[in-house]
Amino acid sequence: MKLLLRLYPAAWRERYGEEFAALLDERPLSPFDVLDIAFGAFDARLRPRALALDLAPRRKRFMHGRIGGIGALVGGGLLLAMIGIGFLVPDSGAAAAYLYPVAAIALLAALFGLSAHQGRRNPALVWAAVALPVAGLAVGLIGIIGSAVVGDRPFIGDQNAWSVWMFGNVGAVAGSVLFAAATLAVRVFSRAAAGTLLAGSVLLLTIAVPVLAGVIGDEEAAYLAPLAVVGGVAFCLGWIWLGAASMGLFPGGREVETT
Amino acid sequence: MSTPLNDLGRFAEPALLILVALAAGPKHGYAIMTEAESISGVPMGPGTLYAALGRLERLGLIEALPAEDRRRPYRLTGAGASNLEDQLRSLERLARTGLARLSVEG
Repeated sequence: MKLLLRLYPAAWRERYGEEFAALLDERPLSPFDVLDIAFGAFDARLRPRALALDLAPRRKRFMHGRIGGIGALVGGGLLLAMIGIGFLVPDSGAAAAYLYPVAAIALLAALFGLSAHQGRRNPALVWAAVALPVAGLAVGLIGIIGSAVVGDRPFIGDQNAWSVWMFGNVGAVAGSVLFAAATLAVRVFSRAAAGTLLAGSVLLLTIAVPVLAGVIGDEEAAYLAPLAVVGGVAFCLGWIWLGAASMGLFPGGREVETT
Repeated sequence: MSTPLNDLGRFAEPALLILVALAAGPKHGYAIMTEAESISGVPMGPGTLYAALGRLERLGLIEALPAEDRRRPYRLTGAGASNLEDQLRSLERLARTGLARLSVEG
């Protein structure tokens, strides 16, 4: 029953939730009722003004969350598409070159937008959680642009553009660990989403850092590829989930703190 | 004749049933729903009930009373009673005209 109530927008639940739950307690739910409630919830989301729901204060509160949420949805979705394309399409580097810049910019919007709701209890953590992935994504952007310009030739020092891109990604993923930790610490948005992002990021770092440092050779790295994909998918889903939660599309988004 | 209920689209009929249910006095959600079902003979789902209640409240035709436990009663406002009467008179004229024509043709 709580799940059914969750289908309604938060403003509706604040106004009608208690009495609606009392009504549902008074008679057993039929399949007709469940469908009717789903349609009612859809109507409440589609036409809140028809129901005199005062959404203005909440919308104002959620403006940063919505901008960040869209960024997280787009960024996480595009990175997930990159993983899928990498699997399904041979020699898909060109597609990644087009998708990555958009994904990086979207995730930058997510970082700034969602950090507005992380409160000020852990300023050092919150700042680091934004600064590190911003730096990583910026380096990643330079790397992907470099790979389009100079190809495999040395790009910065003796590093080729691919290495620069990878270093940027490690920074972005390490920053995502901090971002997920900051989100968990202040209990903003969905904790499960932050936990998914944290788990995916840690898994990716555990594999990528030894590979980049040369501790793990190419042959061993090939065995770790499936784990890296799992980590990458969890990373993307974590961002998508956080984005959905911040926009109120998923449970957890209404628990925003505006300290 | 145009009344605010005509603008409620698919919720116009449930809204009318709710107004009729409340014409006998304040009722909470479950009582409104069972009364509306007994009047029309058609089941009214909780989603439809609250979609119509919200619209009637916005139009000022009903108002919520202080909650009793978890249940909140609603009652007709003056505008609601007046609109309900207009709507029922209009339906009465329609019914009378239709029945008269049927009896002539029969």
